[in-house]
Amino acid sequence: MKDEKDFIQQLLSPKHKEKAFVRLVDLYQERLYWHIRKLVVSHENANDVLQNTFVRVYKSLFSFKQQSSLHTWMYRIAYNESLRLLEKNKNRNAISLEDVQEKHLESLFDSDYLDGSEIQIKLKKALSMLSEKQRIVFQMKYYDDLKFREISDILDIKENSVKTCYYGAVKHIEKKMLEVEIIR
Amino acid sequence: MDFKTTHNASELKRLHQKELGMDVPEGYFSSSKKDILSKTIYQSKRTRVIKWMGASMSVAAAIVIFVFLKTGTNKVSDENQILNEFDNDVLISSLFVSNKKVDTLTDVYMLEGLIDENDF
Repeated sequence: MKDEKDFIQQLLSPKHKEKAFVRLVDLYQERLYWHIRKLVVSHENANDVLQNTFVRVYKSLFSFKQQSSLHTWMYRIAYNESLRLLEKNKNRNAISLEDVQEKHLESLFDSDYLDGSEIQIKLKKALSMLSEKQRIVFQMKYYDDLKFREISDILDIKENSVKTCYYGAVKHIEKKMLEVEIIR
Repeated sequence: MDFKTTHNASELKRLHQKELGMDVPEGYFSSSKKDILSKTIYQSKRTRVIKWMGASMSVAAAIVIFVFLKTGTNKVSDENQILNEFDNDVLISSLFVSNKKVDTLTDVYMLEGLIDENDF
C-alpha cells in the first residue's frame, strides 16, 4: 500500500511524472487490454479503448482523489471507456446494448484466433447464455482476478449484489456446460 | 513493484487464449505502448514546446514593439531637445546684449512705427 502511495506521488510529481507513467503503462497495459477485450470482444475495438483509457488516465491523474486504489480506478476508467464504445456502436447501428454484445460474441466464434477446442466452445456458449451483468461480473472475478470489493467499486454496485451475480453465473455455467455435454 | 501479483501477463495471455480463444497480433503490446506514450507524454511535451515557442514569440514581438516605440519617442524627444537648446541659447545670448544697444533698437523700432502711421 505504501508502495502504491509512493508511486502515486511520483505520478503527480512534475519531476517524476513521465517516468512513472511509462512504468504504469508497463504494469497495466496487458491487464487492462484483456479486461477491455472481454467487454468489446474485437481486437481493433479493444486497441482503441485501451488507448483512450490511458489518455484519460494521464489527463485525470491530478484529479485522482485516492478514494479507491489506483488499480480499481484504472479498471473503472477502462470499463467506462468500453461502455462508451459499445454505446457509440449501438447508436451507429440503432440496436440495443445486448444485441451489440451478442453480435460481438457471434463474431468471436468466427474469429481466426479461436481454435475451436471443445472447452472453448462450451465455455463461450455458457458465457453467451448469461445475462450481461452476470457475464461481466464472472469475467472480472475469474479472468481479471479482481476482488468482490473491487468489482463493486468498478461497476458501482453493492458488494453483495456482485457476489450474488458471480455465484449465480458459476451455477449457470456449470449447468449449461453439462447441458451442452448431454446434447452433444 | 507490482500491486496485483496473482495473474501475471503471460498467465493472462494463456488463460484468454486457451479458454476464450482470444489472441493478439505479434508484438502488439510494444507497438501499443509506443502509441499510448505518443498520445500522452510526447503529446504533452509537444504542446509544452509549442506553448513555450508561442510565449517566446510573444515576448520577442513585445520587445520589438517596445524598442520601435522607444526609438520613435527618442527621435521626437531629440528634436524637442534641439529646440529647447536653441531657445536656451537665444535667451542666454540675449543676456549679453548691452542696454545701449537695446535702447537704440527700441528707438529705431518706435521711429519706424511713427513714420508708418504718418504715411497713412
